Formats: sequence, C-alpha cells, structure tokens
Amino acid sequence: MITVIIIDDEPLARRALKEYLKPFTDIEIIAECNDGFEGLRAIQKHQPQLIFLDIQMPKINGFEMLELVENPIGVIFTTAFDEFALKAFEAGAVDYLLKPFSKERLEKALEKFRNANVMNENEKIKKTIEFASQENNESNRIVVKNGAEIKIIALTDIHYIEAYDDYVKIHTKGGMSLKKQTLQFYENSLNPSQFVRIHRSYLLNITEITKIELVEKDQHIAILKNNIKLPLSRSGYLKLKETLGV
Amino acid sequence: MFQLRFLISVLTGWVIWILVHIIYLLQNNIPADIAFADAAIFATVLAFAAWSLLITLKYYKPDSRKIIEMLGWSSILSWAVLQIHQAIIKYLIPLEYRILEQSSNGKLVLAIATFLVLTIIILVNWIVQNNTERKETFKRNEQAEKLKKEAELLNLRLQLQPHFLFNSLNSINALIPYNPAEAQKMLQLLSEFLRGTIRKDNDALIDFEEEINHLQLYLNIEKVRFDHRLNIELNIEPSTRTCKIPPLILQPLVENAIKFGIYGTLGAVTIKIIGQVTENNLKIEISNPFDKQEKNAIKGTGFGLDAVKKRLQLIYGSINLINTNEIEEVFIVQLLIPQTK
Repeated sequence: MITVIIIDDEPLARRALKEYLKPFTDIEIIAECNDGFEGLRAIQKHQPQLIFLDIQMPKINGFEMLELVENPIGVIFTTAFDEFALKAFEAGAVDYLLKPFSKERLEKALEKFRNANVMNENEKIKKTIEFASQENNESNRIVVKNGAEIKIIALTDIHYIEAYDDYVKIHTKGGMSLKKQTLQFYENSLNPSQFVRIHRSYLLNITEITKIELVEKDQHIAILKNNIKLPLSRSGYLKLKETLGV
Repeated sequence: MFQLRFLISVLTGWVIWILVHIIYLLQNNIPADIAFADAAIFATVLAFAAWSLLITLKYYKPDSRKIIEMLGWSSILSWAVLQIHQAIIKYLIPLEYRILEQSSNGKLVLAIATFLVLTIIILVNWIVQNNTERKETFKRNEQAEKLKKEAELLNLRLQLQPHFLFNSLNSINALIPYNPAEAQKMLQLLSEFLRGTIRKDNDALIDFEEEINHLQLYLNIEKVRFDHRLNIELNIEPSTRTCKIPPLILQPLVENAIKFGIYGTLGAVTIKIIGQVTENNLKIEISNPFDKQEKNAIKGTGFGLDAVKKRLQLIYGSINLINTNEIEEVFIVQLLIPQTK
C-alpha cells in the first residue's frame, strides 16, 4: 500500500486527481490539503510515502513547503503553468505532471515512483528546489519553521546568515530563526550583489554594513548597523570590497 | 503641384529679368530689336547657368556651414555667365550697342544682379531641401512612434496568464465525469472570455457595461476554480454603463487582486469592485485583502498594474490615472478613466 497526500489549493484539481487515482488499488489517499501549512501538518502527522504537490499555493509555494519537510519523502509535482518551476523540474530531473494531465501520464509517474529509490529521489528534489530559488528572482523571501510556527522572512529584513552544523541561523531584526539548510545553498541562490560570503561561517546582507575595520595585520571585521561585529576572511574581505566597489 | 509652381515662378522671374534688362537698354538709347536680342541672350545664358546649378545641387547638398563656399560658386558662375554673354554678342551685336562692355558701371550692375539671382537660387534650393528633409524625418519619427506604441499596446494586452488558462482547463477536466453540464458551462465561459481578449479593434473605446460583462465571464471562471474561498462584491452604479473605457483594462487588475488575495492570505477572500461617475471621470476601485506583516516578502505591485498604467498613459497621455492605496489589510487600486462629454 502506498500512502498518499494531495496538496493543491484548487478543489477541482484535487478532485480530478482523486478520480484518476481511484482505480489504483494499492494507493490510499490519507489526506487532502488546501495549502502548504495544512500540507506540512498532514505530512508530520501521517508520514505518507508520496505526496502530489502543487506549486502555486496560498502564502507559501510548493517548493517552500518542501524545504520545511524534515524526512525524505516521495514527491510528484503537479502544476498548470509556472515558468520557473518548469525549468527547475527539468534541471532536477524529478517527475512532474502538467495539468490537465492524462491517466496514462499519471500511471507513468506512479511507475517511476515505485521503481525509484527515495533517498536518491530526494537528492534530485533538493537540486530542483535549489534551482527553483535561483531561477525565480521574484522570490524575495525565506520560509522557516520555528516549532509549529511557520514564518516568512523577507530577504531585505535579513541581517546575515550564519552556518550552524546542519543548519543555518538566519539573523533578522526580529531575532534569529533556524533552518535546516547549508550556507552554500544560500550563497548560490541569493543575489550575490546583496549577499556576500564574507567568511566560512557568514553570509552578509551588505546593506547592513556601516563600517569595515582593521583589527590587526590582515584581519578585518565588518560592523553592522546594530553594532554586531563579524569577522572577515581574507577572501571574504576581497569579495566584499569588490561588491561594494571600494 | 510643387513642380508646376516652381516652373511658373522660374518663368516669371526669367520674363521679369528680360523686361528689366530691355527697359535698361532702351533708356540707354539702344534700338528695341537689339535690346530684346541682347536681353534674351543674356537671360538664356543665365537660365542655363541656373539650370546646371540646380542639377548640381540635386546631388551635392551643401550644409549651412558651407555658406562661403556657396557664395564662391555663384561668383564664379556669374563671371562665367558674363563672359559667355559677351562672347556671344560679339558676333551678333555691333560694338556701339554693346554699352555694358563700355561702362564698367553697367557691367558691375549686371554682375551683381546675376550674382544675386544665382545666390537666391542656391539659398531657396537649400531651404526647400532642408524643409522636405525635416518633414520627412518628422514623418518617419512619427511613424516609428506610432508603430512602437501599437506594439507596446499589443504586448500589454496579450499578457493573459497561461497559469489561469491551464488551471481553468484542468477544472473543466475535473468537472467532466461528475458534472458534465457544469463542465460545458465553464467551457463556454472560457471560450467567450478568450474570444473577448483577442478582439481585433483593441483601441476603440467600449462601453463600461461591455467591459463589466467581459469581466463577469472571467470572475465566474475564477469562482469555479476557487470555490467558496473567493467572494466577489460588484458595486457598479447604473450611470456608469455608458461610460467609455479601453477594452481589457479591468481584467488584469482584477486578476492581480485575486492573485494577491488568494495566494497572499489563507481563508476566504473578498474582492470588491466599485464603479462610479465622478465629475468627468469614470472612477473604478478594486480592492483585495493582503497580509500586512508579510508585505516585504511579497514583491512589488505585480505585472498587471504596471501594464495597465503604461497602457492608460499611452492612450490618455496622463500618468495620474491609476493610484494604489493600503488601508489596514486591504489593498486598493483606483482608476480614473477620463470621459469626454
């Protein structure tokens, strides 16, 4: 038995998918969700093997929701049309269904899922998400989960991002949020003229800098508007100088 | 037309020249037949000179900075005309009647008159040419501007979101097995809506009523898609019905409002559309809820708003026809469409 959750904000889209899935006796739909928030709760509660995930949804989109899912999970994306998503799917080589899709196409996707190794698939999904956030320069936010609360952080509100084991700490005016992600990911996906990797452990929003100081020979620090001091590595110092144009 | 006028003025000038020349010679007691022959010969030589000058100027177009050069040309040409005239009349007219040759005064007058005629020809030619060139450039610019405007308008109009189209098709697909009648209805709505968006004459103003009818098609489709999450409140004053508006102005704005309402918040969303007549304007307000706390995380005003702004600017030449406002958790777009009475 494959346990399945459908996450799509359009009731008719869910209905169509449900109809299509009926003849598959080995598939059990254990939940239907209207948006990413419901989706996350349902995933946590039911631990499904597979989700059907729409991209454009209220508040947080499918990729942002997926970033917050902790355990590896099978995903078949469904979308009507989304330029950025389509590019990301192709780059990440995951399976996706373009609405409206045929029963035969759905069957193929399920077949692919049955034969796939979930761990392997999750690597592809990670790549897809990373690509999607690079492609979609309209995305100007990061979605994080603090306990049960989901927070949407505008990039302009971020002071800096700090590496922290398997996580990153996202420092903002409103405090700090943890997210399971690598600093490398954000260095690659955020706009490099706004966010500069100034150190192995720090990615800095350059609009927050007030001063760069030399503390000892070859050792610089950046002083932020809120007086926080961050160390600059030698290459970070050069990169920062280049980005600031000084 | 221009050619004929040109020919007439040239001929007139030529005849006047001959008459003045004859009168001058008669006053100096030259017999009439000789005076006529002399004047005619001179005028003919001058005409040839003027003609060759015009031909040259057709291919060589001096600009205004070469004024000295042009004056030089007409002096040389004047000298040549006088020389040729003298060479010809040497064989035709007895010496005692060649008075211009004997008085340096008369010769000077003739030389100056010739010089003036040729210079005027050069100047007039230059002015006419400059003028036509400027007119042509102006016309070309105007045409380019018009083409650009048309292309821009076309571009702005055809921004139908594929996302909307495919999701609607997907809804129809879902309806077919369990509610075929509703599927049919939706397919008809969608077809009628699409037909409305690809009408040919896109810049002729239409009645506001027609625009609202087209918008209703769109709203009915969206209501099927989002079910009871989407409420629409239409508040259109009857007096607005005959107001004029460019077609397809409202749909992108309402699409924007629905997008930000539906994707920016959770739960039910109410989109309000108000239409009123104020002074000489049709005033339209479209409002949608948004999440104030996450304002920074939602980018800009969306494509729809910019496109409509640009379009209104191109059509009415005014930049103040569209305004946005935030009151509490409601985002309001206000449109003013000028009405001519």
